[in-house]
Amino acid sequence: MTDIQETAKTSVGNVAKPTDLMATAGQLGRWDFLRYGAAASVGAAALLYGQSSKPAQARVVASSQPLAVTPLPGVLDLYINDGYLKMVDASLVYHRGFGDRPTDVNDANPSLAIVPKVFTADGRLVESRSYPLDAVLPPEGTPLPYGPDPANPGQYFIRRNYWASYFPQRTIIAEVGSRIRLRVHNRLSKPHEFTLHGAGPNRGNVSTGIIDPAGSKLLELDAPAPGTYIYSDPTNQPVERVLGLFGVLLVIHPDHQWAIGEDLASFERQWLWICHNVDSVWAGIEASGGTVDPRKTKAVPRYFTLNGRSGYESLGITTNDALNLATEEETLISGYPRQVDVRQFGEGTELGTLRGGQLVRLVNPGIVFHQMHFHGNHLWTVGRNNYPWPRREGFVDPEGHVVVQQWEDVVELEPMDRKDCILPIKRPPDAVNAVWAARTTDWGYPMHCHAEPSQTAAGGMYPGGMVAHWTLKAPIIGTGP
Amino acid sequence: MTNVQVPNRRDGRRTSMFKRQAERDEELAKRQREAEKKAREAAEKKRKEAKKKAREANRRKSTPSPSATATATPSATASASATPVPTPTVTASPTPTVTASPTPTVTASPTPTVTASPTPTPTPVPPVNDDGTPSHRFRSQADFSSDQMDVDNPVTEFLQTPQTAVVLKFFSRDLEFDDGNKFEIWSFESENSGRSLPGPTLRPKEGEIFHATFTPSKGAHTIHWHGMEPDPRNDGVGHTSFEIGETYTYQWQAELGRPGDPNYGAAGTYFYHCHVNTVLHAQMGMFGALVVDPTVHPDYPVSPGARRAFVDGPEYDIATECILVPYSVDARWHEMDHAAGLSGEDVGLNRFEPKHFYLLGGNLADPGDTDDRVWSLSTIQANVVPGERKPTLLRILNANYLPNRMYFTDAEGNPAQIAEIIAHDGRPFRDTSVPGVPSPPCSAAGYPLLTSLLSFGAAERYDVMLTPPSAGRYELRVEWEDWITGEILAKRTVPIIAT
Repeated sequence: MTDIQETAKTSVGNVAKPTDLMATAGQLGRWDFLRYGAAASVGAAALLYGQSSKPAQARVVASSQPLAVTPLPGVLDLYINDGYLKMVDASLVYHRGFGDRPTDVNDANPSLAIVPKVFTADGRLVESRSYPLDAVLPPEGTPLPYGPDPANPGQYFIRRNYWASYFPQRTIIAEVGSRIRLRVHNRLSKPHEFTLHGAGPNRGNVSTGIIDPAGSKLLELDAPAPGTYIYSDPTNQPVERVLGLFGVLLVIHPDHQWAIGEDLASFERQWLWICHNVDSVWAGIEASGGTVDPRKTKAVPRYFTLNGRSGYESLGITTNDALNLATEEETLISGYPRQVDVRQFGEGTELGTLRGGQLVRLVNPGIVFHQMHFHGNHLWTVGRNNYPWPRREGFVDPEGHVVVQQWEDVVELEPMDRKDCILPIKRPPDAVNAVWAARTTDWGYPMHCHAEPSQTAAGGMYPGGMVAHWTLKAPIIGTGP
Repeated sequence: MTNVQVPNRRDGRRTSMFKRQAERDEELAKRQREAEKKAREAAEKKRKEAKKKAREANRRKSTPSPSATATATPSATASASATPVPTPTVTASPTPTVTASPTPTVTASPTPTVTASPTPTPTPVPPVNDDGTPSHRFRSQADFSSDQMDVDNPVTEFLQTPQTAVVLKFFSRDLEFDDGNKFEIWSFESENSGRSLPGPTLRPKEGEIFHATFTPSKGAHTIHWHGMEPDPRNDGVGHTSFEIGETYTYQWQAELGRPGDPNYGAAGTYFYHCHVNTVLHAQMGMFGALVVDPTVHPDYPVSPGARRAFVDGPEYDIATECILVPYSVDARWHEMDHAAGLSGEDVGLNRFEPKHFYLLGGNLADPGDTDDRVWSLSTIQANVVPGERKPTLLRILNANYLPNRMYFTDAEGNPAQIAEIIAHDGRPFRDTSVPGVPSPPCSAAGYPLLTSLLSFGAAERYDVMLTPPSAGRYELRVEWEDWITGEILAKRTVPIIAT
């Protein structure tokens, strides 16, 4: 974390006129008071604390909370907001989240998650739903093939280092070599914190420390090693995380944008799947100003989400075309069948082609043990929690898990776990030959969690929970055998 | 329909004979699909009307279905059906991961072939849903949940002569468990299996055509062949194909294994289960074990009385092969109806709170008389290793919704490293470190995955070779954990008798 005083110097330059001080202070919040020094800030700080002095039952600080702060180049502002989100059954449930802009609890469209952002190695901060930034966008999320594979009728050569990937809300991407700069603004009445789990030295956490109500803090670090990291508010563990204060940092090496890391598995495109769950009892307690004691009020999740959506919304079969498209691009894996050899995910035998599948990064900032089951193809799991699994000298770890690269049709995903899996997108191996040869349509396969209560919404409505599907795309006319 | 044999899929040239046959098959399939489509539309219309009436009746009766439109004004209180249970619980904390020493991936340097300019990017054709794949859109989750498509008699495309065929029916009755408790169980029965839990163990071979003709009752059901990967129609999932109204013959062909090749082969442990309102139907007992055996490869002959776990896998003793199926019962769920919750009513299916914990299964070669009772595991017989007989294979299938841990101990409860994990989810653990050369099983590569503890969750399967070094009593302790807090909910122990 940077020294706040030092960072303040940068912003002082932005505040040209002393007469603007109070107005600016009103916009910048507590973080800026600190940088003017304790003595100078007493009056203004008192003003702000006076504004935030609400009864214990208050949900948010005063309505005169500062508006959006003045942006700083290369700094990502995260606003800790609250509000109500519509669940898959159309009921509204209280949430908190790290948002892009300041919003109040009654906002009809509260900002509780950020649009994906990218910290580039050359020092830019770019808002983008896709990465690599200059790569071709796959139509509806589906990478098109390079061309037919003449030796394998109905299958295709896959383009290597070509297609961009779309990412869901809450994603921060940082290229290796970039400097991550986050300014976190607490707009609520309780203290909060922003922590990047496992992103520090020796895989320790990196945190802003406590951010008081109406306060702001800057967190600055070099991008850690390539991998997937969860960020969350660890306050009153795991309550604030369950309420929505979580997201994912993805670190990618700019020289290996289509690989997990140097000398690690390559992929056609990647998918980030963020699993979560919503406990409306906990939400109700916090919404009415209480504080959940997770030891006394056992968590009973009522909704289960994948990239923020559940059930038919997560399957992209609503009457809302824009929502369906976003789901197709961000969540619903799709691709053309290809030959894969799990012994090597790398360059194909044709120039510009890849012998490999698509990478699914499974991330669980929620609190339930998920069991991610894919129909149609097994997944090849290559690592857990940024530890690549070996291909030789495997072993059973002290927790009773086998540590070696392996096929799985159900992937265990404990709370706070991250797993990297390759979906080969190959011919479903047990399909009868004649059926495969006559295929003219897309073949869709479900993905669901086999801890089946997670497939419900509001106590029923199967499959209304954390569900998705993947599609083996239909043969392209004119490229058949 | 003739049994069409397609040349190896790596062989790019198909014979003209096959083409003609394929064209005929395709034409027939088209006609079948058209007939089926008409039947489906009629059935769907009829069923929609029935469901509409049921929904309206349900609304009048109790819980309103959620409205399709959301209001922008938030309500101050969150809706909640669950009454918080004031039982102190421990918050789940992430389990520390043991660091695997990252072994650099060996990368072969493939020599790219210089080719002519790439084929122009083909323009994909919009998918035409002529095979029953739903192209529906839904206005609400309740609409989607209550509107799964069922078809009375869907057609099996390209029906071939099976080498293994089974006829399965649905049954429902109260069954007694080994602790004396009785619960209403829904499950599958075959012509000669009797009515038991789990459903009959099915045992096809790699490379063979498998048929299962299923006639459900008490509402629409399906069979999903968990871990087997056929086309969607034979995958048995309602929302990606259809639910069965009257009868359907599932057809698939377990992929043939190739020695040393990690990309091929289906031999291993699987299960089958209903995929309609799965959260409820699987808990009610609609599942059974599915074991795919390898076809004997000439390079890997098999000793008398033994079988291989997979094509180039280790031999095991057929007589002592055993399956263990952790299962648990939430008695509240066993009072529910077939379609509980589907119309939007809150029936608490997000709360799985079992109070009864069971180890189902037993000896696969001689399961005994299981008719009208639960098949319960009381003892595991294991062969001493090394010994005259081949080792014992223990197949494990987690059929509940909770994480399990299994501890292998000696008679005094000390950890005993007598479990060698050889496969997971129907796939062997292999050494894949060198591209382009055979990938031996881990044991053959010099590092058997030995352990005294195995952790796994819902629907996972593990194949374990038992390796007790001397005769006597060992134990297998199974623990069920809470799916949120990780706290231990129950323990059960079965003896392992090594001889």
